[in-house]
Amino acid sequence: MKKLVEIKNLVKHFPVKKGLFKKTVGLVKAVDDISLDIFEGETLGLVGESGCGKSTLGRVLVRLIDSTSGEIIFNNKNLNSFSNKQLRHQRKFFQIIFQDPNSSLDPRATIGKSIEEALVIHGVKNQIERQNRVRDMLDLVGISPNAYDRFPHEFSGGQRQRIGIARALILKPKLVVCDEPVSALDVSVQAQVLNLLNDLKEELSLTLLFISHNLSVVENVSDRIAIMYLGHIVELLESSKFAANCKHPYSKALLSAIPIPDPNIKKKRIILKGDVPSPINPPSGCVFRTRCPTPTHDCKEGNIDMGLIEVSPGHWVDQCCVNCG
Amino acid sequence: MSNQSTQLEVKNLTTCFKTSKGDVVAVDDISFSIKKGETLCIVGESGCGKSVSALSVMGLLPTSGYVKSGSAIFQNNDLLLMSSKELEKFRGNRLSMIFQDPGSSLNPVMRVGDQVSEIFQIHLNMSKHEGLEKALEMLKQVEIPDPESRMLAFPHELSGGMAQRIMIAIALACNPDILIADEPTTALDVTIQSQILNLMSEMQLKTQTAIILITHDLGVVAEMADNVLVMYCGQIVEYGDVKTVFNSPIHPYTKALMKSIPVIGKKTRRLDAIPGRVPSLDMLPSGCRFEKRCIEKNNYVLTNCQNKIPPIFSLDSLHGSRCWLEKGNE
Amino acid sequence: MSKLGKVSKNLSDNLDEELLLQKPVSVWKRTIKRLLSKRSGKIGLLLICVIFVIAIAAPIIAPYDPQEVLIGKEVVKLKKREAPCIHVFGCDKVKPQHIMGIDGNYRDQFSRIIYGSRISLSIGFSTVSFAVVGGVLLGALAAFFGGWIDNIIMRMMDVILGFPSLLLAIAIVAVLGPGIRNALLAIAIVTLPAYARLTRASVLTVKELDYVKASLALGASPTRLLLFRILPNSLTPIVVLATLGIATAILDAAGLSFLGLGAQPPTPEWGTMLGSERNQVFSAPHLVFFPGIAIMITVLAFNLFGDGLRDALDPRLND
Repeated sequence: MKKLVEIKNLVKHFPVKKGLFKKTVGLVKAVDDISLDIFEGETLGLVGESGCGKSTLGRVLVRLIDSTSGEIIFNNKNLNSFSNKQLRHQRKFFQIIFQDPNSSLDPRATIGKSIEEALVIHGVKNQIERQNRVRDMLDLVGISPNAYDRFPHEFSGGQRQRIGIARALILKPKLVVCDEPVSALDVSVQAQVLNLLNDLKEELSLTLLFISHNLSVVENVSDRIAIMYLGHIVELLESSKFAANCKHPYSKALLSAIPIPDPNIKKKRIILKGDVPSPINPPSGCVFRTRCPTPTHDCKEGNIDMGLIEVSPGHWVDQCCVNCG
Repeated sequence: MSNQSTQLEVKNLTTCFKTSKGDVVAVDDISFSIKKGETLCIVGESGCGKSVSALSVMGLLPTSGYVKSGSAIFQNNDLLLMSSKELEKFRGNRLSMIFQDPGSSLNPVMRVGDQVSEIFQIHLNMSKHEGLEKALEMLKQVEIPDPESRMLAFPHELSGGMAQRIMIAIALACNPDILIADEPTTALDVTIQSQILNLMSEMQLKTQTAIILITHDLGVVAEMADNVLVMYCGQIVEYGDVKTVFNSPIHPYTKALMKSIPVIGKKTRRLDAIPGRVPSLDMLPSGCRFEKRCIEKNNYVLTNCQNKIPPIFSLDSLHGSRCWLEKGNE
Repeated sequence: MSKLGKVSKNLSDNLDEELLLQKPVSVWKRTIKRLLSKRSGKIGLLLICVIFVIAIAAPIIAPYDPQEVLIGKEVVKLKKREAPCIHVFGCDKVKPQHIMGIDGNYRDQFSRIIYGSRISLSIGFSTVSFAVVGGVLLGALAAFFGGWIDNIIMRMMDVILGFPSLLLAIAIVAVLGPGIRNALLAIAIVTLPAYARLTRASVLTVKELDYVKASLALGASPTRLLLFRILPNSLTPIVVLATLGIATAILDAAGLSFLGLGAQPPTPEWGTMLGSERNQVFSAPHLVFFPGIAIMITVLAFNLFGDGLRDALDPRLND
């Protein structure tokens, strides 16, 4: 399969500034040396809990945030090599859908204008043509094209999310980063939007990076799943094999933590001790060692560095926990 | 004639809100009861009235809300008829509530230890010193690591999971008979959620507190509930014990909801989405509120569905559903 | 047609029925509706309209020219600082009618008060306009670019804010010389930092919102982001402050004129009128009372309107 995106040793650190002169006293290591490939046409799911850096990774990928170091190769072009102006042209190839339907649309612009902006920026000069394309897109996401002149507050959360999707897709991008697209929606609406994303992906030949903290949703929607913890990817494998074959103790803990909607099943929980460490001061060596249920002596000392090893074709696990077994 | 161990019996509770468009009914004629040591889960989506029901019982409605009718009998007292001064003696003592966001439920300028000991001072008339001792004990019971130094911490220094444990400590301090938990784990990570739910179950075994757990997560319901109440648009649409409701749901909404959520380990190509959306409370239809989205209606019942709100039909005393399709089955 | 056609039909949840029952409602229309539903907003707006009408129609309403000295021009000899004479209320018909009396220079006070409204309104609007344009520009640039630009601009604002505002205005006028133009400049400079700070805070917040990020992700240039997405959504607190600022500016101008540093006599500015007659408080109270009342009503009008506007714009009151 062709690689659409190659992420190489991506690092994003946020400085923590204190004092009158804003001295940097620490670093939030949101994304710490991540390398990942996204294949064309797939949906790659990125799962992790709060603070793991998954949203940051998504935003760095679409260049909303600059990376601290590392490379992103998009469609064989290194994104670092573009000037600001060139980058703006490139943006039509990768887009992002946001989590919060209440803040993702400009409250003072009609939804038609919000979506049309994309076409204005990228040089579609004819107004009639632009408006027609916007109306077609609205229809595609299940919003009446007559609603062009309506304002965001006149719509429900699910509808606003669909408008956000329309805006992201109007330029027919190749890659769409979905940053928790259904987490803020009601349960009965989530399924609608997930189905819509799936259908649009097939219709428009999209590649999706689906970021969420909800493993059940991600497993259903994705072809492959990557599990993230404190800025590192700890496991990566096909989603259909995830439930049965995951190896990393964090993956297993996540899996067992999900409450199953079936009262007949009483499963044994793997309950991790304690809270997630702060990304300002992550544990040295393997970042998971403070909560790992079966650490070896070397793990606990922080002697083992992190890095993914391929344990079987297409299945990558962080090397620290491969050794623990 | 109520059972000796019934703690709370709510009958025909109706709560309204005053809005600029007139009065809106948020909770429409709901009834339920809960016994000692039991867990009742109220499940539904946003706007269904589950939180408002709890707030009505506790007397914590905002100024624009009021209870229109109904009763909530708790240990021979009708909570809905009590003044707020009388309710104060019950709240925190015999009746406790924990909320979704622990960050905004704790006083940001008071140390954690002081907040927990305050409960003991107010309700059990202890001195400050005694209160602090009991507070330390509670912190150990809810498994807060390093409790001595945590007593001196301020709420913003705690993580979400830690703060929720403090909330539970405060809520269970006086061994209440009923604990109402309004989406206690929705804002928490799933690994922390399992810790908190585990903690709640363990505490319940010790204290035999009845828990009313409000959530939108069917997984949490399956794990924690003894009995289930499904709400939609302010009404109860189905009730029953948890195994019956999950194994043989009757109401089309319950069935559709269960089919539409992704379940780990069971990957499907497409999810069975419920078409349409929840009607807004100021524009409710005159008939069944779920009718427009219902795929199970047939021509026999359609006129009823569209024009008359169905009553709850009880299959037996333990399982009931508000659906015209059940009319013949009573 | 792809199966997407079926998908969207399924989702097209009766939008047409519900939505198209009402016309599209923009944020401004909603605001105006809310503003007019509150009493303070309505009264404030009404008073402002009345004052505007008076100012515009001054030549028609005022019986005399405001600068006209009336010695020897009227049949009956007038005393200096004559008390008000209103024929309807029983004043002798022989005497000429002066509703608010005559000031210390034999001019009709009523006409001067009427014309004074023009001056006060123009002072209020011009100083606030200058301060808003300057403040918003500086604040937006500081917030958008950050770094040393932010630092320099904000420290400049801090310096101005470090002085008590009226004293600083007096100092500026003292340097530039008394007169209305310099008074306007002084007040504008002194009030500008508040707008800069407010704009900066507002822009800093709006800059981080998802819809701004979305426009950035679509490829919007910084100019486009600032002008179309950020500024329109940041100006709400500015509008409220500016409305209240008009009231403050009128008061400040009256204060400066009272001290002899603003409008100079014979300009019929209310503060000047108060200042020149302040020693006559007990012998000719009407000459102090009426200008004072005029200032008070105007300031009250703008304050009420500003309060109503602030409540109407409060996003938390969304139903």
